[in-house]
Amino acid sequence: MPAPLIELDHVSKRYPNGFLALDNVSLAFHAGEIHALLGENGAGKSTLMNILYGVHEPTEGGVLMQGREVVHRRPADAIAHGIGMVHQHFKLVMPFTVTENLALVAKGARRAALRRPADVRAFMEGYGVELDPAAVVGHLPLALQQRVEILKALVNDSRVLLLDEPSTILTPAEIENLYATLRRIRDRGTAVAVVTHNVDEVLAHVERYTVLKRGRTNGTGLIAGTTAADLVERIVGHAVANTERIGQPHTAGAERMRLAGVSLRPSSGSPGLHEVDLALHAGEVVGVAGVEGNGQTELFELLAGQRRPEAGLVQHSGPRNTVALVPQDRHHEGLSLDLSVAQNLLYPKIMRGEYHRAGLLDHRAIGKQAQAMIAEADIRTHSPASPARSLSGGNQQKIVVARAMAEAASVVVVYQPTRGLDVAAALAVLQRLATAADAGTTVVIISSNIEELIRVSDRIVVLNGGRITGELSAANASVQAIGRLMTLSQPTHSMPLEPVDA
Amino acid sequence: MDINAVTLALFLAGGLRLSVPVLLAALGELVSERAGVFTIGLEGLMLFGAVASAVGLAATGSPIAALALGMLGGLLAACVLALGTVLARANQIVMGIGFNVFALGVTSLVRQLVLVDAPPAGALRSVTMMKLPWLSDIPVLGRALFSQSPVFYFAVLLAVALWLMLRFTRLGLLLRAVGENAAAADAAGQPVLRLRFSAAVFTGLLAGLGGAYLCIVASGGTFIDNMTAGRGYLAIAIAIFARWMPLRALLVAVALGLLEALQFQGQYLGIELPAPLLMATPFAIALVAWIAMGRAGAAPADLGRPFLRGEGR
Repeated sequence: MPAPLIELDHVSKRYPNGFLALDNVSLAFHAGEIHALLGENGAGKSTLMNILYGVHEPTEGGVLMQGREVVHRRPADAIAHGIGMVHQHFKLVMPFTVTENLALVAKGARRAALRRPADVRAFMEGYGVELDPAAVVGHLPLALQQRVEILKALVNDSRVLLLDEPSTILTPAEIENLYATLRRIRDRGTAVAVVTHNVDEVLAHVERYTVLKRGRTNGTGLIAGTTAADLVERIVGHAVANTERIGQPHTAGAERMRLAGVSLRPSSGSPGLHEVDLALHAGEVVGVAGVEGNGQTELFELLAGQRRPEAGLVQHSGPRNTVALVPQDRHHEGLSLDLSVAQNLLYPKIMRGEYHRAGLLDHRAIGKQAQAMIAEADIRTHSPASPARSLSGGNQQKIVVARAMAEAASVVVVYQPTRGLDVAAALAVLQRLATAADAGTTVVIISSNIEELIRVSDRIVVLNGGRITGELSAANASVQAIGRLMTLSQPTHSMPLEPVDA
Repeated sequence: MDINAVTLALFLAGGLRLSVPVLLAALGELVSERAGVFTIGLEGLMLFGAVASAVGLAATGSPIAALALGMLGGLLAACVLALGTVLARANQIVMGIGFNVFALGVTSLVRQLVLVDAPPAGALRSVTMMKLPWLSDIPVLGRALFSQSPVFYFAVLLAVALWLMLRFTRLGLLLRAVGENAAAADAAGQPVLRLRFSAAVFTGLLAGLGGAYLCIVASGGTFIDNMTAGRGYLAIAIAIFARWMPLRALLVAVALGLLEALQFQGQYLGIELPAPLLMATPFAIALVAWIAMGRAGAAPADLGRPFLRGEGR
């Protein structure tokens, strides 16, 4: 085994908001090796990369290069040490040409060489990339923009190349191309580190892996001798103790809404959607599982009617449905933090002209109704007139959910409804959703919390790379089965898996 | 009165003379905007330049030293402004408007405290008129173009130099990158804040010179309260109208200067437009420019956005 080129030495990172993203992680990347970092959202993969690249500084521990401690306070420091990074959201200047983007990073002799288009071409061809140096980057297709981002990371002959989720936005064929390029880079003696959540991609293309789980390493080793089942197990972990069902199973009623062959184009940081078919029925809870950033936001926006599909149809059966929403980010889209709890609870109704007397707001009626909703949803607030800002995150979320329920809509779409909530608050929210389905409402829950989805859903579809990679009924759903669908870039049938013990 | 060579030459010369302060300020503004910093405080920077030059003239009696002090005044004021807008990441619009009000008050105070007994200005001809040999003898154009203040020649050369800089040099590339996508420039290892701060200070230098020109060259060395009278805002509009291109800014500034000259010399040219209409025209054009910017695809994408590392776009 070659000596490590770059190492993380007992690194911890706590963000200013108190979140511990990395917890005492030690890890080494070797020259001439492609090393995959696997893990769910919030496992700490991006944080780890950003620490190496000087975007974030570690709270504890340090970074070693060839055994010597280095400090990266800013990306310029990392670049000076021969590190290049491909960011999930490309750091490209879109109105600039390929050459101009490369020139931003290039130093010394390479910078001078970039003045001659022939030399730019030669540099790119060294990595098997053919591009017009004078092409405006913003006009290139996404896969080629990514290639520019990679070349930019390599322009100073970097010894370490970091890639943050490069495959999420690519088609399977483009992923093959990407790894062909990465192998060339590796063969020049560069250490390549790739963040991904696709197990099949890792098994096919990578030499070594490390799994991160909730900020800690949960296994590392050579890919040779590892199985998909083993990796999935390490990523999603063992089933948690509590598998008790929330609410009753439902029998689906008539069809309410249907996505038929719906597609959205990918863009930087978004995989888009690819020919998604999904039927929603009255009185069922549909869970949408997947690693964050695989089309969930796009699906939410389509169901919410905030976006139109670029191909395919969103059909409503019978009379047009009313859709109530619980957005992902309660602070920005869900609540007006400086308005009172009562105003937040009744906002849609007030806007429709209810709770008015003689053209003026009827504060007494608003307070009374809000009081009833606060009691029903068990919102812990000093008074209905307190600003929403003064409540805890869990109670803020209860406001958003209670408001969506009060709409008595035929379809309720909720996005990460329990993020940041404690167990009791999360249970209350999910129970409220299950009850709504009892009454005939169609409930769609988009979440990356698999255990929770299994407990509350009647069926679960899995999104990966903007595609639905599978659907499971509540009876067949297990953390392992969903985990597999979440971590496969190809549809299931192309990839046989050995059985796993739960 | 018929249009003859002399009146035409005087009209052109007058228009060019009037265009100089807004041209300088607009060139400064477009540099900072290219780097992503919206310098709304341009009006205030010009006022500081004007008052500094008046103080300089009173103190030294040298008009050249006065112009230099005007630039220094603009530069120091811009440092204060950029401390807020670039380093402390204050809202650039709010800070800029506040700065303009502050500048109006401070410069008026300085006039009352320092300039009230200022001696009458001496010979200013060294900065008001510089006849270029040979060229100034050309009929009409000689008088219009080549018998101007040296500051005019400087401003024209500067427009060309800035065009070359933005288009053909690495510094220009870095400035544009910082204005288009600060996070990308940072990830490329470029010192975003240093570049933005420098651009903002450079704006102060030019706005200061513009203000000093107003005071020393155009007004015989006398500082008057609020003597910029909205020219800073006009210059911002010119920068936008010119799509942040220096040579276009030169053309737009000259066109507006000629329009302004019509107020004074239009009647000699046989153009009878009501003076209030002419006076309002530049500002009407500015208004159009501001509206156009709302839809301008060419605007630097990160214009007006403070930069903080690790904050997603």
